[in-house]
Amino acid sequence: MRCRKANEYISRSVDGELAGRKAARLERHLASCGECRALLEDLRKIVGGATELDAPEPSDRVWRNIRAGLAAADVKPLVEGISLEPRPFFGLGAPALRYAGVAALAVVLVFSGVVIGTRLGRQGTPARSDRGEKYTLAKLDEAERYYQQAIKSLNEAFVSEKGALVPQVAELFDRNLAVIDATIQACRRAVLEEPDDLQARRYLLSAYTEKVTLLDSALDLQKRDRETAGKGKKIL
Amino acid sequence: MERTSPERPVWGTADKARLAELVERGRAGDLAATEALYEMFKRPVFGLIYRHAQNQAVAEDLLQDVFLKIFTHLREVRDAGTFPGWVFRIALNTSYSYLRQKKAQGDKLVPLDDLGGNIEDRATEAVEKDLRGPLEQAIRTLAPRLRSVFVLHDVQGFKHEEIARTLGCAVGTSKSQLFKARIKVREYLRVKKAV
Repeated sequence: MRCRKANEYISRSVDGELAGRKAARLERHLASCGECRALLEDLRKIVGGATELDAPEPSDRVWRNIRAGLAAADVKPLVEGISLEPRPFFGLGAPALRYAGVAALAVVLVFSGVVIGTRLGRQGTPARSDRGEKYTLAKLDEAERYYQQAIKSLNEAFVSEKGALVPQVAELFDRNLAVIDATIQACRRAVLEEPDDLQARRYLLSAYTEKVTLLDSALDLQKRDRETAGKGKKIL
Repeated sequence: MERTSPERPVWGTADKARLAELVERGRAGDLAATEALYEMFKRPVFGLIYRHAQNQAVAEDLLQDVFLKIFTHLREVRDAGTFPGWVFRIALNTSYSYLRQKKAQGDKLVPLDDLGGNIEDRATEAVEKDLRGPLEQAIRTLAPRLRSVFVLHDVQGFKHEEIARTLGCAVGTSKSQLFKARIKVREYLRVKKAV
């Protein structure tokens, strides 16, 4: 048996899919080939290690946003007895952060409206399509206002404690922010030139989303740093 | 980031009757059923998305997009048996779409978590002697398609038949891509002297 064939058998052997004559042939090859033996050993380690990898867990805010998005899109009437009582937003303590959270959630709600509006525009007859497009444009305008509000609030929350960030992270934040702001400016110019161009507006909203995500990440890091510092003080 | 025990497959082990019931109730607009579906699938779907996005906040946003798409189109699901494959297909398409968008931006943006993570990694390097850290790094270096097959098969325990259905390819293609992915992971780990 050549090594190339042996490699194929090795991968199947690692998965427990090799038996009988083929397994015996592989055994004979392995007895005389150190490289293939090393490959088998490494692949066993890799596959064993892969099954042991930790599962990353999404935070609770994801389901809250999905639920809010479904409610905003009014996808279906809810079944009796199930309430949609709002839970505390984002679990944030400080008023500025809470407000930022509310603004960010508003973006999600309005964006869901945009998605639905776009779909209406695509699916309808020509007359409905016009209505759908106007609705979508109106929703995009609304979404942009909410994005700007969310960014303003997140920015205020962030700037108040920007000094808490590690200098390397702060520098990286500024660099990313410059790229996103340049993208937003370019998209805005495109929208101003062609106000009815849905694609340009979507790119603009996408750039706003990037900015919200960046600010959100920075706030998370600030919160983590504060918690770490708090623990340090307790130990001292 | 919150992390728990290793990922477990949903597909093969899910209670099919329960899944069918939840999909049916979800289609009828039962919010509790949609939440139960989300709980059932969130970890493996997030595990897959996270390994493409490589950033917790971005992965959470993508997860949200995925489930909004799923629940707004739930009425289109005719057979609950196809539901898991459909869910993972949407997750992969959303991940690939994000990667294309990211590439279009020329990778100018570096997620802040990346730097934060690196700083933390350096602090814990001395105590982290197992394969998990280098293996996660090796997975990041894989091309998206190879990464998907490796994560679905070796990390999440999917069968080649299930992967082939999700990716829309032949079973043989899934097997050969897994082999390529493993070889590339091994090359990376050897360079890092982790195996």
